[in-house]
Amino acid sequence: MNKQEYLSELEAHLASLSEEERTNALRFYEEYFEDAGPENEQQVISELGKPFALAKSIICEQSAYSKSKSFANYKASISANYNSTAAEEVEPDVAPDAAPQQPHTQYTAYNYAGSNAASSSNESVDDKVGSYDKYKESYGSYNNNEAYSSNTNMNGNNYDNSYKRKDGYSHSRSYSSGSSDTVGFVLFVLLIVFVIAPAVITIGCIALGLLLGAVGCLIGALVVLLVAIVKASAFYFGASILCAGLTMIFLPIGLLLAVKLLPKIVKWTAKTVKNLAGGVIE
Amino acid sequence: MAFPVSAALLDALVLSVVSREDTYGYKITQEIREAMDMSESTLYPVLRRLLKNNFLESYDQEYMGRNRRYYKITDEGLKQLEDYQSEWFIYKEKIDKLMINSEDNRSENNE
Repeated sequence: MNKQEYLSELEAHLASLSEEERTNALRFYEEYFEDAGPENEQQVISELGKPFALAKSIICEQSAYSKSKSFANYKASISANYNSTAAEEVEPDVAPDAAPQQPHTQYTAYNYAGSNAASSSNESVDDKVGSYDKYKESYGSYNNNEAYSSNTNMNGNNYDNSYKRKDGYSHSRSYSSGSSDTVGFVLFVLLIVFVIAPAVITIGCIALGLLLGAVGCLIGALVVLLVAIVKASAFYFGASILCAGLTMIFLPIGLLLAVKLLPKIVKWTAKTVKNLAGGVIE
Repeated sequence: MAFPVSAALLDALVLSVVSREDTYGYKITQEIREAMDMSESTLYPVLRRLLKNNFLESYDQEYMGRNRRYYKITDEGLKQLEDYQSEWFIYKEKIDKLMINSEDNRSENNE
């Protein structure tokens, strides 16, 4: 395969992207080939992996964008909180025996600041640098204190928490291509074709049928009721009640399927697809 | 490399490479590869994410009769980079303490 073949295959696999995104991605890799030089063409191709796998990593990143955006906010709020905590807690004239406890408190605030809004992120850069320097000072004094080993555990634990969170973050968006790609993709297609599509179509049709039936029965009930009133006939009145009864049966079942069950299936599908896609990317 | 590379670390590295001077995709990859084993397919998604978050800007500049896309760090990107740097400092200190200097520190402290 040469560069042109590689790029056109990549383009074909990027068909699901918008025109602009596709052009940008292709342009990037075309330039990459050019900057690497014709002599490295084959090496770049083998490094980039199969066009299909590369396309998937690009597409997955597009859909992960909203996630990364909220992550950026989350990060901004963490650092803003961390810095403001440092500014509040670290006095310039830190007493040596007070120092060891401070890093611990700061980390606690730092680790659990994630739920706070990102609104505090517009602190000025200078403030942050200042408090960061102060923090370094206190960190230094903490370093030389004898109580260090007794605190190691606490800090270690806190650190663990933040690390896990970061790890989870990277889990959803790090790329490598391997043989699991094909297996994952086949599983994914099988799931869609044999489980999700039939389930959604069947339940959707049943729900639609029941709802339409309910509407029909309701109209019927009203028409027959009208006839019953005009003709003053007990027979038509009974028929009207029957129709109304049928409406009462069809409507809740149809609604239940359409409003409760269908969204659940769709949600479950989305989750499974995401997990599968995540597994494939991993 | 034995240690996992997270998306955040890649973001931070790309930001710091671009913050030194405006540069282009191939060169960024080569520079990062001096520090870690990064696949050539990794960079584009990272750049795209950073562009979307307004941490980077891109512009085209002619080079040898063709246009080359250069990346430039924004003010927001610089701020983000500083955040990453301070986080990295804390992270590194803690790791160093646990992994490398723990014995030294304790014996020094006990003296």
